[in-house]
Amino acid sequence: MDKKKSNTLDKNLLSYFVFCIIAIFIYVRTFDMTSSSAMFPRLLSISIFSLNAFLIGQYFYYFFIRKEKGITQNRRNYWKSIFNLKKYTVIPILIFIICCLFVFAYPRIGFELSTFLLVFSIMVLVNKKEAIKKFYFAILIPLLFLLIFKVGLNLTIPLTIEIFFK
Amino acid sequence: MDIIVNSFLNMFQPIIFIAMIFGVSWGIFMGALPGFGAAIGIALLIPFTYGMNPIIALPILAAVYTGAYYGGGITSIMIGVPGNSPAAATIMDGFPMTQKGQSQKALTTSLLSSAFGGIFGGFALLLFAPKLVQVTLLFGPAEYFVLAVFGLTIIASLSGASIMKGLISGTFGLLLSTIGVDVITGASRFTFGEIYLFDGIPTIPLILGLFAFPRCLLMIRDIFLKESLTLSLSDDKSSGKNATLKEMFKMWKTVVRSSIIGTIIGMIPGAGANIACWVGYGEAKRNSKHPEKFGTGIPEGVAAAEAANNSVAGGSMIPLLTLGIPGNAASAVMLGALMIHGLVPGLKLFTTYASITYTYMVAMIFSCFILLAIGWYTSRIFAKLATINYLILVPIIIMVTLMGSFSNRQYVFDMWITLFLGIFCYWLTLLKYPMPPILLGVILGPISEKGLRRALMISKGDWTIFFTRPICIIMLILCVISVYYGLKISRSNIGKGNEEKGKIKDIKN
Repeated sequence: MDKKKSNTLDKNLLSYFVFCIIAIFIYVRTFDMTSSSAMFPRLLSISIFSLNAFLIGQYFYYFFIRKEKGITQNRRNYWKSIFNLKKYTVIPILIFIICCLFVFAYPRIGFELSTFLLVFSIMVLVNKKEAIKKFYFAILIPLLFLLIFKVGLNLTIPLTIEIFFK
Repeated sequence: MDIIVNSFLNMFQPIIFIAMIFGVSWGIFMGALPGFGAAIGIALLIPFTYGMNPIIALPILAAVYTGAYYGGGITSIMIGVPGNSPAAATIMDGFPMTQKGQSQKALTTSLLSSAFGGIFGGFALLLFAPKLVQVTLLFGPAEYFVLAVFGLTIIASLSGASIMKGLISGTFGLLLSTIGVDVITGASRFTFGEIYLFDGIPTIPLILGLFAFPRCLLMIRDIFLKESLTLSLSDDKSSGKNATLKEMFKMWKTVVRSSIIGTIIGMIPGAGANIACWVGYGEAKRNSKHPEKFGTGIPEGVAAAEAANNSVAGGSMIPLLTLGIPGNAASAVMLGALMIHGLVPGLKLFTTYASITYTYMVAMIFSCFILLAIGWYTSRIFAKLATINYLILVPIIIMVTLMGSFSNRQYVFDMWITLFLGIFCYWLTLLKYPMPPILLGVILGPISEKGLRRALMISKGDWTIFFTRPICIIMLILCVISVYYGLKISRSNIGKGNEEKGKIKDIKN
């Protein structure tokens, strides 16, 4: 097995375990259901578990029985590669956290303010240059989309102005 | 016939006409943006069309579908980067034409052949779909179950590099489809007491979480990996002249052949435009009097690839509207859109909802004429728009994604679904798990479960019901053929992809 293949196997191992856990969790949850309702999810959880168990088995076959060099070398860097703290790994996670904060804040502080904070923080996080220009842009975007959502599509959205006046 | 005429007249209603102009423009833009394409273009628009009358909403989505297939070719020609994978074959001759100073000719050739392909596919849809739907009259629960299994077999060809990962994705999608109230017993499953989950995972947040949100995170990842915020437009000082009608007439055989190939490939579940463009291009080269000129920048190469990939749009709608089997990722999203508007594929679409369905089918043809008008004057503008700074684009798309998932039911809970599903799917995408099988699983899950359980109830638990009914046997044979060809297509795609990537690299150097 070439190094590239073993490297791919390494990186995927965690996902196989995650899917196995999901399958076991689903299977256990079906104990509370009637046999008719539980049949289909049980079938699926068994399938997903079998597929992933096969792939895990394949990994350990290459690691323990065939003792592939690629895997042994990669294993040393395995956790390092999962928790790779490079910018391109961290920034998307930070953006996800910002989005979580946006969803949390959105019904509390309203559309305009939360969207402004979302747009501005993402732009600054990705590139810190020309922050003033980005600030104006981040003000413009919520106003433009407010027009589309409120006037164009007639959506009921919580507005910052309304919340603050209340 | 009356219904077709009425559907055609519907196209001239000002609101539908304007909406379709917007749809085509949005489609071209999304198609031109590398990494986006028809599936995400439709996914982002679905939430905003939800509240509209389906007579207006579906033509917009049809227009996006048409526009996106053409849009991918613009960046292939102007930048040498395909906007989407069906436009990969367009690079072979499109980009060399730009390098020779004939970009305008390449763009107009691409536009005219795309429009012809789209119209051809649209007419095939109008002609064959009403005939094929009659077959569904013979279907009982067992047949519906086997039909859903047949639909799931296309996972093999949607899986990309790893069939196992495709299967895992598809099964995961089926598992997601079991969330909510059980339609047969009424018991709630995996809802964890959340009333928001009683109807299952809502389709719009699901689609956005599967396609749009992970794409945004991937774009940000790419910004840091490549350290570039934009694509650069090629230095194209002399754009040259438009392709003339006389030149187009010279290529009529190539365009018609590619359109037929594209329509037929589109009808085969799982094959899709990615394959059609290469087959169309290959056949044009094989039948040409001067095959050695292909790849050096000739309009015939552009026409062959573009006519083939655009005719797929109409072809792929035939199994979708009649049997509910999507041919590719974009039509899987389109199926989700139809269901959101309460339209379930099958006979009812052609009887109870005939006016909506025919309007949609006619819109697929009509949008090609709008595409002609818009594309003729604005292709260069869209090429420039595709080089937009990602720093501006990403926050806007993230905001639209989150607001889109909120807009349907107006629950903040739906935004959480998009976010958590999105981050999970981002991680899966990094590990090369394909996303379309998840959507396919979610859509086909309820059909397969209902069919399976009802058939077993009828047969009193006897599983041989699936192997003794004639239609089931035919469908099972088709399943085996589909898996076999799916695997073959998947393998040849990997090989061809590597080979063509090499060729494209050579062209760009």
